[in-house]
Amino acid sequence: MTKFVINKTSFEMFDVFRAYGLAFLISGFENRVETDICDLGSLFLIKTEGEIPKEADSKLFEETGSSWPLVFKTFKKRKDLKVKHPIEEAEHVAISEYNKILDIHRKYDFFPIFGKKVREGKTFYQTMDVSAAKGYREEKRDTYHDGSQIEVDKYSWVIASLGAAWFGIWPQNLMRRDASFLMCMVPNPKKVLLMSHRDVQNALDKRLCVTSANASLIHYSVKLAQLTCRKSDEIEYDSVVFNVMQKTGQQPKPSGGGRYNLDLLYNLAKTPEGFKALEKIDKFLLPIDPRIKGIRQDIALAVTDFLMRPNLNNLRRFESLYIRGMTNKKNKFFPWDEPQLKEMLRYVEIA
Amino acid sequence: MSKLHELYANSAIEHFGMALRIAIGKREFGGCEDYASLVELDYVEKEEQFVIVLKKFLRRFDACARRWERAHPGRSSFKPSEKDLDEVVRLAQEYGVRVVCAAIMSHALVYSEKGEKE
Repeated sequence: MTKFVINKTSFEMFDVFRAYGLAFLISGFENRVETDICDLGSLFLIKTEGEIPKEADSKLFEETGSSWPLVFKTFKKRKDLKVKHPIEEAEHVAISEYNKILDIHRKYDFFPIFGKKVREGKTFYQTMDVSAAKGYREEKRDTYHDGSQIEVDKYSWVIASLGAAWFGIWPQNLMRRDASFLMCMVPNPKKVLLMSHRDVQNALDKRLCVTSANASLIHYSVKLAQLTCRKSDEIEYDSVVFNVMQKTGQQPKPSGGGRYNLDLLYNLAKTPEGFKALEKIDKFLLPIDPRIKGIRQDIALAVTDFLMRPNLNNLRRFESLYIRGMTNKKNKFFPWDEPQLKEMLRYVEIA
Repeated sequence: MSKLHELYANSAIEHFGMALRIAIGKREFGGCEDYASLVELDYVEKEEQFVIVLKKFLRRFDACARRWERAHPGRSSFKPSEKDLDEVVRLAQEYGVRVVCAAIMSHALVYSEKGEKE
């Protein structure tokens, strides 16, 4: 067994992408070795069984089936530009420096190097972590300026890019022109077998509710909990890390980010009644079309708030909206099965 | 486990919840479309208001039950008992009005025997 280490920084999404990226760089597209990732608090431990491949898999840099174009969405191609496109650059670094990347991550003391000018550093894109967006980490006094771009060492950059391209979840229907925000999510690997993680992500429906960023996050988390609750020996996630960007006329601007804890959803999914309640939420309450307005949209927002903070106020808001929906035949809001609702009430927090 | 879950399983709450479910139900399913009680229960916050809301609800529900009994001669409609009323008021004093209302309204969300299925 060989162990690799990803030390955590303050960039949560960047850390998760690095963990997935390094594991994928080793295992390759065809799962050449069995690789699993464990979150040990201050670091991610990547364990591989079997002989480590001698070189990087070039298929990892193909655009089909990946989100490579989205990761470098803000990169502008110009004829006179002398630098390579970041995808080509990532491929070049991963293939030529494959052994070096593995070697430095075998050591427990390697931390990514950040700064405005890092030796052979690469631009830290906001799609890898929204808190890396220009000017987020510097003071602006007297006069306004856009801020400067953060750079990161190329070894950390390449594995984070790989992770973002293959493991970042970009809801498909947020690519519509009428959706006002962009979002990227990734489940935090508490204990994950990479192969199973890829199967789950391929099976997961990426069309999510676009009523709000929180609704998209909850919709994805509900789907994830449904798919993985019975596979806890191979896959264990504890939270979903998310980044939100606001669409503008030009580049998307940073909007926010955070981490959603999956405990409530997993607790619900443990029992058959709770699982059915999640199915109901997934099926009826979260419209995937942003043109849907009225009570269905209100319900989606109310149930989102309830699943984010299951307190009495949010439950009462959801209840009164749902009853109003039920009383109007046009809405087709059907009553709940008693055991399912009872299971949901088990987790309501009363201050 | 949440207090709401305990309250939901209480028989008095269950009987009042069932009554509310019938009251807000469609006329074609034996209900009486009493949305006023629903709104009042939704907004009540103090114990004194809660007692008044319950009184109004029971009066409306009684009218609804009598109408149903007239339409179905020889059959008697469901009604919460006096014991249930005492218990609900006691629970409101113990747990708070908002929690009790939430538990009653939760019962109104579930299927009734005569209700429509998905």
